Amino acid sequence: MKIRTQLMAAVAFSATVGVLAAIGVAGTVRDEDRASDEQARAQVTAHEVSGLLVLTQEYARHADDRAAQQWRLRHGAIAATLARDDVRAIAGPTLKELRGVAQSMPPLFDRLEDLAGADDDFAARRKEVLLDQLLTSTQAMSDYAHQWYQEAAAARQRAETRFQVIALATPLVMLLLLTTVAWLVVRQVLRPMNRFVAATAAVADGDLSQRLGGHAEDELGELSRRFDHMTIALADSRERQHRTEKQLRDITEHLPALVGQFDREERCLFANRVARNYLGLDAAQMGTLAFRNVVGEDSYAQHEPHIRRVLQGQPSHFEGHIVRKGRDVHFQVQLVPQLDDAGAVQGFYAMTFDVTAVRQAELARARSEERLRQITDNLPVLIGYVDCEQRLLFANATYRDWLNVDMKTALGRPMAEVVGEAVYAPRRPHVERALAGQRAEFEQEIVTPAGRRCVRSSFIPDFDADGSVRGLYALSTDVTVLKDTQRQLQALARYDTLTGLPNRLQYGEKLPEALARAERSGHAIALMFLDVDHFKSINDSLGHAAGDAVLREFAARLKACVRQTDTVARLAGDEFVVILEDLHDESEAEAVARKLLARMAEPFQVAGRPVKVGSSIGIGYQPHTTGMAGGDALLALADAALYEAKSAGRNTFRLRDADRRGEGGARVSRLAPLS
Amino acid sequence: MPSISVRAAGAPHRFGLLAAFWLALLCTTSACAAEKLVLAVSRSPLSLPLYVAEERRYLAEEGLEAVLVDCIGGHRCLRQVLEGRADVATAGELPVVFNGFERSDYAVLATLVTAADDVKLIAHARSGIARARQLAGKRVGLTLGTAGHYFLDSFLLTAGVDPRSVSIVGLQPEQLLAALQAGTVDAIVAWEPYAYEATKALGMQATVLPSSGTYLQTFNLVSGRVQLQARHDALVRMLRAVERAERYIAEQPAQAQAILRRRLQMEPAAVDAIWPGLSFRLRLDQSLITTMEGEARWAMREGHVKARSAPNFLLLVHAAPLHSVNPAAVSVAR
Repeated sequence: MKIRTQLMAAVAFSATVGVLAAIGVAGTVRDEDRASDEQARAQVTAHEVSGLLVLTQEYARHADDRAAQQWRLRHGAIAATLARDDVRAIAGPTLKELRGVAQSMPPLFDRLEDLAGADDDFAARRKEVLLDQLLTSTQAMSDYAHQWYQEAAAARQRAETRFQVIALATPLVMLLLLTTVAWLVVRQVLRPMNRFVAATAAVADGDLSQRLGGHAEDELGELSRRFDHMTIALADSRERQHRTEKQLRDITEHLPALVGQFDREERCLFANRVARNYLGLDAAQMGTLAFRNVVGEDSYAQHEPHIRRVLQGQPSHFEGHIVRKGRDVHFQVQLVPQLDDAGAVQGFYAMTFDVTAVRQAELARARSEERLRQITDNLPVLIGYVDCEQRLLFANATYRDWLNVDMKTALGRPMAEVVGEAVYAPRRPHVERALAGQRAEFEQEIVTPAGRRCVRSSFIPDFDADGSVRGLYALSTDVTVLKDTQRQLQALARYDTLTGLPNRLQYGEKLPEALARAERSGHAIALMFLDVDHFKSINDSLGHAAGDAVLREFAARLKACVRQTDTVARLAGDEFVVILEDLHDESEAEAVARKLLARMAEPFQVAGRPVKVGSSIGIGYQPHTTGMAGGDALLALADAALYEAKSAGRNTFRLRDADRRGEGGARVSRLAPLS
Repeated sequence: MPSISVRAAGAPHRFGLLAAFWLALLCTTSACAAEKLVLAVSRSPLSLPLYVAEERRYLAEEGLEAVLVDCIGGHRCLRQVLEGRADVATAGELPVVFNGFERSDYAVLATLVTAADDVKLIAHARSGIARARQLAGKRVGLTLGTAGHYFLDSFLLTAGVDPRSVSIVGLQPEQLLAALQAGTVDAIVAWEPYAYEATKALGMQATVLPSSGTYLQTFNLVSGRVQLQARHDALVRMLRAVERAERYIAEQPAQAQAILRRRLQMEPAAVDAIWPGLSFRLRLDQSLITTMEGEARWAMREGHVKARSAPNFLLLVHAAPLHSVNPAAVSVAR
């Protein structure tokens, strides 16, 4: 129960006791007064009744009117007393009996009075009876009055006893109540409060293990539990703080830096292990050594402006350099002001890192980079690095030489801007391919201040550790010379050196191209296969030089007889082919054949004399149909036609239509008139 | 309400059982037994305190093994005491007075009750008696030497009728109604419950003459001299039980009336009729002496006894036991 409730209950109880005692006392006093009144009244009545008894006896003896009158007066007085409303009968039945007896008497007395004059025996007997009844009744009244008095006295005694009990009990109850309240206060309030005071004093002295362990369901019990929660929380908090402090101290102690704390007078208050070892300090010296003495004059001179700054509340940091034991030492210093709660500077913390190794490494790296730069700049290769946003992050000096790139502004800009859209556009798909993670290699012609250049480029993806592409390395080498040489070699391989006509190799390239064109255009195409009649005999009789001359002339006439767009080629020895394109029908091919035969019939001038040379021609004709014959099939067709022409006596031509091979291969072949 | 009355009646009963238990325990350890006391109790509403004391075990709780012996009329109950058949009797003061002329080996211990209307004069309609004066020359049945006898004489003398002009026929209480019905008497003087039984039996034929205030009867506990000496403690305990019963009657009148109805087979109306005139208070008053002296003078004067002088009734009253129980209840000069 709450103390407040208990105290309120005690107050309510004492108030109730007080009120009840007051009511009890008032009631008792009233009862006592009433009993006292009734006692007095009973006494008076008893006195009156005894008077009545005397008067009855007197009347019986003398029978005089005076006695009768007095009897009636006295009886009336008694009756009046008994009839009073305030006679309330502590003794109810007794009073009732008294009244009853009193009421029964006057008729008896009346009858007695009536018999006053009579003196016969019967009257005498009646008188005696009536007198006896009156005396008996009077005595009964006296007894009842006495009883009334006794009962009133008893009631008074009871009231007095009750008053005494109340008078005695009330202070006792109050005393008991007071004792109870005092006991309650001591037990419920003072003892817990004393424990509380002792516990708070112990907490104030730093003992957070104090627990009150209150189980009571009152306010102090609640307070005790809250106190326990508070001390537990405080203990936890202090434990955490200690841990944190220890961790911080451990960290500080083992930090690879010189950590120190200094007051406003620059006296060293704390130095971590590294600082103590480095500066040769003793823990006992803390609080006495000045900063200047600790670090030395040279170092202090570099610190001094920053110390002034930090003592004004501004954090400061700088890098310095000293020579210690003949060695360059670079250091980096952080100065942080130590402020109190009001923001006033109490001193400062200094944290110094030895950055000598870092500085030396930086220097070495710079030199290394410079060397690499020199190497790359002097390589005749474009070396660059492009990030995934296609910005140029690195470019060697070759960029400047080849692409006229301003190296001062190039880095960091998009490649397209740096090298120009014309150069970059063909590169873009390769850049994208490389940025998608695939190595890209390609060749490209670019125009440089030195003229056209052909460059071969490799774009190599730069993968991040997680496999994503960060950018790409771009390496471009100049392959112009190589390309030119390659071209020359290629040209050499495709032409017949004797006649200057395309050789078999080029024929092999041209025929599929021509067939493809015929298929697209819907025109017919014809392949003429022709040779020099009796060339062997010319060679044998006139020598190889003459043979070569014949071949050269043959080639020249052949070329002259066909359109620029038609292809003439020497396959081998005296075998030549002509590819006729854009034909509308067989007659066009036949016309060309006739023209050739006519032209070849003219004598050749060989070694200063005319030589008759003829030619046989086989034509493979391929009209535009759905199924075009392949190159080899068409050549075989022309070869077969040539065979027919030779069989026909030479100096003629035969034509075979590819679509009519099923008719026995040969078809209409007309003899061309030789002249 | 029944529940309240049962509880109110039951509480002392339980208390009584407890007391009896302790008493029994005490008796077994001290080798004592309940003291036997024979009570000759008149079959009358005036004996109610003894009925209550028995029914509520007040007598038993006082360590008394009370034996209540019914008798019709206090004069017979007193006879049992005088003959040594009973220790205590309930009786009106008239039998005490009449016996007092002959012997003094008994004494009144206390008055149980006073009654204003217990005795009634009932006439049969055929006798034509409606007023006191009409009784002259008529036959009146009554029990001689009892309250009825004194009542009739007082009634007649007060009314101015000479008792000698009335033929008195001595009958026992239980004979009165039959005599009245048989016509051997014209009227009877009877007390309750015989008066009520007679009026009920006669119905319209009964005429009860108004007699209120004529006689305030007392009903007493009477014991023999031998018992007064030897059985003092038992008598004290008996009186204590009776006083407790009278307190119960005052506090629980409805329950007390129920006991009365049950004991005497009385109808509620009969009890209601007499209840206001009864005053149950254990006492020993000087007025008892005065009453008895007056009655003794009447008996001598009217020739009901041959003696020439009245006995000293103070010697027939023994106040010591009641004084032990309640001194305030004793006002008689000792």
